[in-house]
Amino acid sequence: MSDVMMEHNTDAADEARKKINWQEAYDSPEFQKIKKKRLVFIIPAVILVFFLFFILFWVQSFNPALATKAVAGDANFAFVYSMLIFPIVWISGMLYILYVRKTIYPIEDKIQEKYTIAKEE
Amino acid sequence: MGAHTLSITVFVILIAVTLIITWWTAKRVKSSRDFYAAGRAIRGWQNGLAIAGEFMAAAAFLGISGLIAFYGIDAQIYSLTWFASFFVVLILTAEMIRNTGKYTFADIVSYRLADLKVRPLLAVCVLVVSITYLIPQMVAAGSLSKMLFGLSNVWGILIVGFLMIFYIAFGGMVTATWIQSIKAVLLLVGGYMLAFMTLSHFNFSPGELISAVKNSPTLGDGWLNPGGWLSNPAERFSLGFSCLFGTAAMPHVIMRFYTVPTKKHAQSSAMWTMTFMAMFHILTWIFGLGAAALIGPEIIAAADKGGNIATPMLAQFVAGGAGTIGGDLFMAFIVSVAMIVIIAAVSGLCIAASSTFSYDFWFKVVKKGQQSPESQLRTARLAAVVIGGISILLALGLKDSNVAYLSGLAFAIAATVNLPAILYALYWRKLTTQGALIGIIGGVIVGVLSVVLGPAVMKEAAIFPLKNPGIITIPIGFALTYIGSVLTRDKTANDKYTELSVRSFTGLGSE
Repeated sequence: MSDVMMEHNTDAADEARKKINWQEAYDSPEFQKIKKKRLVFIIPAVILVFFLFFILFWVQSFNPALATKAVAGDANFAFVYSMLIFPIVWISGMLYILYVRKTIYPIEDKIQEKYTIAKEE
Repeated sequence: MGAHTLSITVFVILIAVTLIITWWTAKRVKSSRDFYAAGRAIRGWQNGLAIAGEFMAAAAFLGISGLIAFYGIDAQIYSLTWFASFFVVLILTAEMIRNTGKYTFADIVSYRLADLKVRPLLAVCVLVVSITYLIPQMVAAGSLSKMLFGLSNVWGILIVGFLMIFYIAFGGMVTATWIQSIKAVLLLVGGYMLAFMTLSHFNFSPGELISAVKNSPTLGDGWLNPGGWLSNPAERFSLGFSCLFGTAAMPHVIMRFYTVPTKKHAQSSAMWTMTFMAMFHILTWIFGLGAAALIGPEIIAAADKGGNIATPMLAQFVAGGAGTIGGDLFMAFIVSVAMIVIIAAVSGLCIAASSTFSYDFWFKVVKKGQQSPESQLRTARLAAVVIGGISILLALGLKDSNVAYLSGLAFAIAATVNLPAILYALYWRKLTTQGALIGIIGGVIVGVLSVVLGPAVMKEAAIFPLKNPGIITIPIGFALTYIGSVLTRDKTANDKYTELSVRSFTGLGSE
């Protein structure tokens, strides 16, 4: 698929969608595979981000001894942990993008090619 | 030249630049697709910059540092969660929004459902969220202009309001994108200059800034340890998780993902947003603690009890101090950037509100999709003028009252109603029209009640204990939609899930 997909006007897009055999696309092994591959990353990633913050809030609220412990110069644990969230989350985002582009987009492109109804029809 | 004259001069120059941009971009708006979605021709990095712009608002630039200067590091929670929320957007919604919708938030939710029942309710909801989010920012612009330019707040509101209407009515999403991305660049440039100059007082070492705060006789550990501002753990968890997951549901953020050509660009928009947000929000604590250490909370509070002046005062101090050319010029620059920030932010909300009126309500519901393209574009422009006008009137009426609770209200409704709606629509086959309706109506009621009966409105007599209700209301929103859906049947919604699922993941048949 080219980088910039050709834009068609609205009604044409609606009409084109009506002709696509969605059930067949949904049941195809390719689609079931990419759906699984996406969720295999998405679900753990959401849980990871949730716990990354849950631990921070927990320590800040209920473990003042740890939260205020100086770990880097005068900077305390809660602050250093907070600042580490930036690189951790950013890198996770990059990993997701690389993962999706490498392993999922090629299969999705095949699904697109297979089920897109040619314009002339 | 007085500090006010200088600020006004810098502000006028920046406004002139935005007007040239409007003139240049407005010519490209020829269809409703250009107006609502910038012709789907925005690059990923620029859209990322614009989305980051939406979330590097005045609250981020002035509010967070003011709170940190007054109460310590706790307010950094906004910086962390707003940044990380775009990871949630990246993996859960960014590509899916681009793949399945057309112009608005309602497109995605109502696609499988009875459109004429669900869409008008969602439209009302989006309209209420956008306008209640818009008004406090306009009121803030009024009080800022009083403080910063020496103009009365009526003038501040009128200037911001009319510029907003002008940008949106003429240029729609194209102009909004450009204003938003230029503002983000200005904010990053200003932010890095300010952080650099602040750290120059501490040998360019963040560690020395922290030590200076710790060893200061007036500040001390209280500014570095948690609990200074968020003393109630429930508030911390509630605020944190609402911001982390609620952002994905803000209608003006969702709309921005329609402006790019493909799902790949939508994905890179979210990644760029994270990059720019990280670049900026990694600095906010430096502004806050810097202002506390170099100027002192009492002096800032004497100038403005709300703390919004902390960042401009810090700018003046680090560039030479009051009365010096460097100090006044840099303060004028920071102040003008802050005003541009507000104008851009309200413009983004104005286009979200007017699109939902002209597209969801007028075109889809009233006209049942039968309206000529020219007429659609006219309605869109007219809606921007009318909604902008209403917002100005409301902001003028509320200019002397404390309206901070309104943004809390907007966020509570968006997170309670929109978040379950969009996640269920995209990921749950069993969602039914009835379930969605119960979720929307119930969510609005719960969201409004939690704020109206809460401490923000009722003060000490509050029946609902939390200022940030998300931790209770968001699960209620999810539960209402879930219960409503399992108790009813909706064959169309069930069948169409097959289509929507394929579309949302693969982008097959996208607009």
